[in-house]
Amino acid sequence: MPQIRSIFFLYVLIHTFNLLLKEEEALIGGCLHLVKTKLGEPSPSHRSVVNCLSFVVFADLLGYKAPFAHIHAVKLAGSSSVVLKRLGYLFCSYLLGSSHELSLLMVNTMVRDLAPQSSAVSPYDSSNNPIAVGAALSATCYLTPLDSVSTLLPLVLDKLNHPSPYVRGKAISALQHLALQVTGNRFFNSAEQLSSFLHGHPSTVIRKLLSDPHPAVLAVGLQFLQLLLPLKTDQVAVSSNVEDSGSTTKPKEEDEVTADASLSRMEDVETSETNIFQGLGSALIHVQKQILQGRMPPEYIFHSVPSPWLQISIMKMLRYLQKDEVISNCIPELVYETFRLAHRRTLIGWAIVTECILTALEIELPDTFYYEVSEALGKLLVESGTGKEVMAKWLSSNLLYTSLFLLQLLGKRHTAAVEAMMLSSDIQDGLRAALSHPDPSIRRLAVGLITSCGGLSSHDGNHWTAEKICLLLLEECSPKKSNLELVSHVPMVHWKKECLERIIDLTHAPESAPSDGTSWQLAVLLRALPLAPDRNTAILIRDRIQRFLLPPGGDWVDLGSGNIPRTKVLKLLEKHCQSKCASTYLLELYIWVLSQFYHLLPEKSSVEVLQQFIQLGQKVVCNNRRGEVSTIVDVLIAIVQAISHIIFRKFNFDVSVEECSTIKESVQNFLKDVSELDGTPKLIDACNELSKTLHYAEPVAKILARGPSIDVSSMDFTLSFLDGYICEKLKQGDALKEVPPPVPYSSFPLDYYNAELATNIHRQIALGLPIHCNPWKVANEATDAKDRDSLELSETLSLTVLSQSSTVPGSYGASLPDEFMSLSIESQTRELDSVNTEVMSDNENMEGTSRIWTSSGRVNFNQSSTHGSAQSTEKKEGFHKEQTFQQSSSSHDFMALLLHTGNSGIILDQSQSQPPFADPLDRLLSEGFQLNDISS
Amino acid sequence: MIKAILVFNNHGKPRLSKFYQYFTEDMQQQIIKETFQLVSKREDNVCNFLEGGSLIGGSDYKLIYRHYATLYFVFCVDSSESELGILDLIQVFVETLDKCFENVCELDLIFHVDKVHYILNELVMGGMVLETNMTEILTRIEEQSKLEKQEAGLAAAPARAVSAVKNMNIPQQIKDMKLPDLPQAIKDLKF
Repeated sequence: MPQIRSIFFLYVLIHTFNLLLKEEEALIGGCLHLVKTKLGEPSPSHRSVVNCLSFVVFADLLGYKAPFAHIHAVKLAGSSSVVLKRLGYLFCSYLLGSSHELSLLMVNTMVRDLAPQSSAVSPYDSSNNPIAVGAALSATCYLTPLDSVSTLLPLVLDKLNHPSPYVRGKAISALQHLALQVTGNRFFNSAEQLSSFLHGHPSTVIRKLLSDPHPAVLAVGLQFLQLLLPLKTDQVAVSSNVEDSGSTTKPKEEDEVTADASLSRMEDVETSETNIFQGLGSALIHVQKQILQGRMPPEYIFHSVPSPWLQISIMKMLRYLQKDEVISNCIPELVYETFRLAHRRTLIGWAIVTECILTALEIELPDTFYYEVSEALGKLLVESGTGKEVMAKWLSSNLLYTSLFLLQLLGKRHTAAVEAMMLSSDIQDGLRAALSHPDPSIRRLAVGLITSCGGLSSHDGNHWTAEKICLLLLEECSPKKSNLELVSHVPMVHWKKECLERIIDLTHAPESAPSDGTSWQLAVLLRALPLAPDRNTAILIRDRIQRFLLPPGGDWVDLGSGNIPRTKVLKLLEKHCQSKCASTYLLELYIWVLSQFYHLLPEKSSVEVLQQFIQLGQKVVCNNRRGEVSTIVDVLIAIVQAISHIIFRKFNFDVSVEECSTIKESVQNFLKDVSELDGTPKLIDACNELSKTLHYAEPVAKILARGPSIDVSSMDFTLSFLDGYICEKLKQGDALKEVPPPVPYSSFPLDYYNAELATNIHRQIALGLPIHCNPWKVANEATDAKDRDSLELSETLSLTVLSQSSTVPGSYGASLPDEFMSLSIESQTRELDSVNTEVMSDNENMEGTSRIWTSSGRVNFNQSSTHGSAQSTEKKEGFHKEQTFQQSSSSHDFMALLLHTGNSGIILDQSQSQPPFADPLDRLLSEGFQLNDISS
Repeated sequence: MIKAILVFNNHGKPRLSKFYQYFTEDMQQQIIKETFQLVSKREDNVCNFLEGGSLIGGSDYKLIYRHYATLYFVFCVDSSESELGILDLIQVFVETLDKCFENVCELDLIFHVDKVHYILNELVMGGMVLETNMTEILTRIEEQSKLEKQEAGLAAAPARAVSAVKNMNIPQQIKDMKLPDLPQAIKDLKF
């Protein structure tokens, strides 16, 4: 049999020549067969068993199992030789698990090795050797079944008193593992649970851990205590003063402290089972002071920093002790001292600084400290970001990341300190460097810092205006930047969404009609729309654009200066209609804008616009007859709604007029074509709605033609007159069994409110609003309050509407003629069957928008669970919704809509930041969109 | 707490894996694969912290890694650990390996799997940092090696006994042997 190590070498050698998986399987399988043969021999030598098991471990690492070897590892652990025993424990720890059938045998072996021995028999006797005991303690972390914890726990606790620090350290680790196993990886929820686990003597154990004279063992003990500290804040009383307890604690003489001396003063603290953490804070402060005074053994100095990991643990623990009356006064001073003395030229030094700052952010310190911290972080930002300090790339990236992360946290606590620091030109340079850093995580932090720390200003003199930040965010959303899957704990798709949501946040809703002052916001939003990674985000952006074009307080038919941006947007979108491919998002927006503002284009009549819509719709239908219908549904719905809007707004239901009657047939033919598609219920409903309304348009027009006696504006668009009918149907079980949830403000279809027709989609709004309630008012309330509570209000109101149905008849409905009544009822009855689907789609919208509004009204970027749940559907949806249209020869071909954002790079330099055009919309109109900036 | 320590080469082949939280075998392999896919795409000029992926705890967990020559050293930790501290802990681990094996390379991790695990067990145990003092770790490893040699000496005791017997020069000793005087009657015997 060839030597096992030779096989290893053979494997590695061959692997260097790109071994195929099949070949690897064959080779490893062959080797394992040899191992099995060797282990199956009558009495294999220990050496060959060890070699075989080494190979089995190696194969296991690669995913090849060899269960036949497990028993040999167990036998090896039971050997009397320390070396073989240690190897046996190692192999068992690796190959077996706590649930393995052989783990019980191993528990017996561990109990034997951990049992206290009366006296040493021989230096090679495994039962008394610290190495064997240490190996057994290590194995407890891997091989202890839950039901054996009680057997091993006393032995492990006993080893906390072992003379060897090597064994004591391992015993603490084993104790922690057993505790995690008992509590199901959650650690202790209550002091009682801890007390029960430690056999009723938790304070004794804690004192023992804290009073260990060896620095390494003390460090391990602090890690264990760190996990216990949440109990202190939650359920255990704050520790009382050591002096108060009547102890005779005296500060140690400085000369006394050596590596072997006790580091803490816990041995002086009196035992009190009622307060298990008594004296903990004092002990920590004592240890930390000794470290700062340089009285730690020199071998525990790492990169010129004394006991750095111990310092990190202490700083972390001090956060939990801030309310401790005894030491609360000492903590700020100690944190400041640690921060001041931390070695700032090394990574580990900055690790301590980081912990100091994180602790300082949770306790009260003088303002000067925060200014000092921001100055130090600013210096680090400049050194690591601008390359002024020569350091390795990985090091500078990590330090830059850390500095930005801490500055962002500091900005939330002490904004003034960070803002003052950010005014420095060096810091501005550092931030610019961070914004162009290849690591998206760093760019993300830099953007977050700038936006959150008051760097924003409307003044051009400021480096960080909202417009520039928006341009930076647009740059982040560019497909060119999709080089990494993860951006600082966030998948790329969510980072893009986050950027777009920040853009929406930064482009505040207008209070009046659009003006030149809001042009940059419109330009930014228009460029952001095709970059939306999913439909929900696109809807949010589109809604924001619509709010700019139709401000709630403004006159949307205003012919004054407010129409200039509208005309520009219309021309901009129209200009790009002649291109080869398009995003459905922009196409839908164009359809909406055209239906709303076609009157601003003198060369277009309403009939021409209708014809354009019909042509566009027919081409969409024709070109996708063989394709997936779901990809064109939204465009078709937009077209149908646009046609409805023009007919009923422009012609006021009077389809008998000459110009309208000519187009009526085309519309009906188009609707017929669309109905033949296997579309979604929403599309079918929209088509049916338009078709039926056209059918009943003439009687409605007659009513409306009666003149000023009919006040159209006071009509009950909420269809409250149908409440009784709906309730009756609900009782009979013939209709919708559940009330549709309220629609978030952002998904209110704005144009519907202006339509003079109660539609199925209107009903959803109506259910969420009282009679004659203006949706915009509710939307504004939601915006102003920045609270989801307003949506709950809508829900309440919707229930009110339903409850009123039996007592409050539709006042306006009663005055309407029968024809109109029948129309409404017929429409309503038909639509009820399809509401389920609509509700579902609206729920999806809500899911997307719910991520935007938090209780504070700001964007919540850390809801990873929501991200995770929505990710797959968003990806799928985004994939389907983005659509490429075929080229058409027509000059006015809406099918071919090119989208390209006019992104010529972000100019951060002050001198170059002024665009050549005074109006960003003009610039966008001139330069057009860049094709490579469309996410598809 | 440290949840897992993974070492794999530039091709994604695992060279060392240690899980301090229970995962099934298949899950462990999946985690190694996913971690490699996450880490290997990152360039040298980006930071060394990233999310733990979907398999190993999600956003509460971090992957902190260093890339040395052909090997990636990845520590998966929870949010309570200091990122920069873990980066230097990786440095301690690699430096200890380097001192122990004298210019450690990938092959050392394959051929001396036991020794590598011993070093790691001295550094981290059960997810807790046990010892960060390189000198102390090396001393313990040396002690263990010495013990190994001593035991190897004990195992060779029979052979040494044979050679000792050979060195005893038994014929000469027999010659040198002083026997007591025989009784006179025996001397007077005539054959």
